[in-house]
Amino acid sequence: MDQENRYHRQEILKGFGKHGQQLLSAAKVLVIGAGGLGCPVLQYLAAAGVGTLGIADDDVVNLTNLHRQVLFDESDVGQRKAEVAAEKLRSMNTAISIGAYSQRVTPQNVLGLFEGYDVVVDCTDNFPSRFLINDACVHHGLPLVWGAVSEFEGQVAVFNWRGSGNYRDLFPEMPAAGEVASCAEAGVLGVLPGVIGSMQAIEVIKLITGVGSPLVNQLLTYRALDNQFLILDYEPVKGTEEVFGSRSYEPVCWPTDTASNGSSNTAAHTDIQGTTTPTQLDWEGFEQLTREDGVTLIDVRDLHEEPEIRAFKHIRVPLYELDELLAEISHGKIIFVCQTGMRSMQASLLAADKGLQVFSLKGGIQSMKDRFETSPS
Amino acid sequence: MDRLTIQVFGQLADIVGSSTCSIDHVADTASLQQMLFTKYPLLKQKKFMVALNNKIIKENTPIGEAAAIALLPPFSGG
Repeated sequence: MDQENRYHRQEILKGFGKHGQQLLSAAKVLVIGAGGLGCPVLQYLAAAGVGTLGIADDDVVNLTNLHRQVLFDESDVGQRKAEVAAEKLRSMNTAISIGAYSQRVTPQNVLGLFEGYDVVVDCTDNFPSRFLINDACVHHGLPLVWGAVSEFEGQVAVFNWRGSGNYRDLFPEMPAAGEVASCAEAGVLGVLPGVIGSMQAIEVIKLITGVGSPLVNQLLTYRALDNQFLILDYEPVKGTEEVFGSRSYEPVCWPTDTASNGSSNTAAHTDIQGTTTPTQLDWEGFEQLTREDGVTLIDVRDLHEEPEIRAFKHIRVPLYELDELLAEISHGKIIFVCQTGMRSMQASLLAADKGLQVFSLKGGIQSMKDRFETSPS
Repeated sequence: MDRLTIQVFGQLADIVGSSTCSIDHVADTASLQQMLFTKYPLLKQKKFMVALNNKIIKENTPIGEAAAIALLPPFSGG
């Protein structure tokens, strides 16, 4: 196909021109995560004629991805995202080169993955990956176009551009697992990552072509519900040392995870200071404990969340209202449940601080829906 | 002085109960944080940024009249 006029509409833009197009064509961009953010980033960068695109994602397409991950269709469910995405992009634009890496980014492979790329785009869905990618970009001297979403909101920033600030200037340390709910837990409006991912694609194009001013030392936030856009300035922390290689990128876990040492049914223990440590229960441990006397089951999900628990006697108190309830409970055992086991763990820690014997259901209601929905026979 | 209206983003709004909240005027961002922690103790367990007049604040900063304040959590979703 004659590609002569392909980019005509952007080549006639003031300040862009054929030169801007040539810069795009020579650019090599690595997109990590081919999910809600990664799909629009990849589609627009491929369409814009970015010469080399890398796609890193170790996941497969899931039916629950399709409402926001618009590169994929029903027939792709179960297929590797990086490979499916690469194939679709190749048919969108045969003139560009596309590399698929069906692997998770790790401290061991990240620098190798970065090799040969000019810009990295963070479209991942978890904090360990985000901190790892940020630190590796600082180490490697690569600019990072960063975006993140939750529910109806999103954030965009450009990090490490010619010595600018980076992610750790905004958030020096990783939040603990469960402190911030993921999309699987809190939900996300399908089109929202479309908006944020498109903005990331624009920032990438700005960095490559030099058009406009990118979000350097700035964080943009967007809230869809009231169309609120804010651009917040921040100052890079001076003299922060490079941290890549000196930090752990394991999820920061809550103090105990007894399921991993096989003693998930043991009771919570009291340490010397008199505070108790929460215990995570598997299904058997959970069922067994609910049959005991003096045990209170508390569902800490928001009131609108489904499914409703029918199989067990319980009380429902959203996590943010838990403090008031805990003030009234002085003894007995409490089991907390939530959608995925994260908020229930946080609730357990709150209650353990008050000296109560507390348990949290590992994996949450989501992992065993049927067992909670069925009415007791 | 007028009350301060605070924009609350992300899941911090679940703790505060709304996407905006209002508190009595305080002198600086350290007092603001203290006041918020007293009013909403669950905020103590969250990492978040405080923006004052569209600038992210890391050190204690005086809060003038009609200040725009926002509390922003990190998002991980993608």
